[in-house]
Amino acid sequence: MSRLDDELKAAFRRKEPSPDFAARVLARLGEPVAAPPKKTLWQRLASLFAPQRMQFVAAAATAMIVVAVAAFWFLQSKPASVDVNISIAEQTAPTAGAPSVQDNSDPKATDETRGTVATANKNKVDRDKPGLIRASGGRKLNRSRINIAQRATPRVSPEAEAAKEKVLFALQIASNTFNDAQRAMQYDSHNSAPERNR
Amino acid sequence: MVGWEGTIALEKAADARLDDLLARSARGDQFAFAEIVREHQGMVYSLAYHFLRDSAVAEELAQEVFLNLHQNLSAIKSPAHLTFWLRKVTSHRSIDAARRRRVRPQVSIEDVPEPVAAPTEDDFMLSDTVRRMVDTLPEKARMVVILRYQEDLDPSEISKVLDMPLNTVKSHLRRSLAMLRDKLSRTLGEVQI
Repeated sequence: MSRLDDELKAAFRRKEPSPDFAARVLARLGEPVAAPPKKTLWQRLASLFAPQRMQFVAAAATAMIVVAVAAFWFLQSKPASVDVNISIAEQTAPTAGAPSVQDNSDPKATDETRGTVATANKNKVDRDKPGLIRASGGRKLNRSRINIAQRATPRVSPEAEAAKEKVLFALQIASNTFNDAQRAMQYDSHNSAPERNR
Repeated sequence: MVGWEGTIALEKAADARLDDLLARSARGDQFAFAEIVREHQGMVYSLAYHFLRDSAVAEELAQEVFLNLHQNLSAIKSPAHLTFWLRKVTSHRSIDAARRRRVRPQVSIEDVPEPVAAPTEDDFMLSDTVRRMVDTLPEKARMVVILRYQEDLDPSEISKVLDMPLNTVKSHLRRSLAMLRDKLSRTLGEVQI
């Protein structure tokens, strides 16, 4: 054992409290346990801005801003892809006397089949003249159905996909940050509690 | 001179006595509880005092620990469990008290009540220097050192008391001792530490 060990043992030798310590403990046994005073709403709000909690409030505020910016960015990028679909649908409208391949009278046609038909129509637009669709029977295309079909299978651009991925990632980060902040605040309030039994 | 058998017999007798005191305290016998307090007050008070370096605050904290014990007597299963419980609650409460004192404004010297326990005269210069150096350690590391040298606990026991991984306790001890050795050798010059 080194000299430092000896010195530490000497430095931290047990000490006795005052002689009437046990009597004072016994005297306090009969005292009612004081319940912590209930905080008002204003006191609770003010405690959020206590110095030791400001860091968690700041973290939560940062996370909120990140989510808001990401959501705004995502919403800004979304209408652009819808406009593309609508303009494609409008291109198909001015055909005369040409029956549409999708112009079937089956009211139970699902969105999926309509989507397939819409893709076929679009291919036709590309192959023939721009803005004109030639269906097999030469009938006129139904504009509203094309719109519905185009919307059912929106073309998602790579940029939109990337934006969506970023938003999801930002939401995940924000969620984790919130959880951490909440956990830290719970731990902090637990530590400040007068009673702590382990 | 007491041999091995004698020491073991004495320990068994002390355990039996404490068992009896615990049982009586749990039934509401205040004299038995006072005996338990007297038996352990030195340990509880010293842990708090060495950590907080304030006799009045340490006494207050020690009293609260014993009041808490009185409320939880039914949960104490044996004398060894009692000692472990007291060390654990005192350590955690001391760390909490130190943290609260750190974030709250300190009161002026005029507002501080008279210390209840008078300071003892055994503060030799080197011991005092060592204590002041330990005071500069972070809270958890300081408590590890105090439990190691006041209570003579080994790292595995300290890890249980402080709810801390064993390797963390070992690294706290190693770093704290290295720092103390370094500071002491610089302070005391050529003295071999």
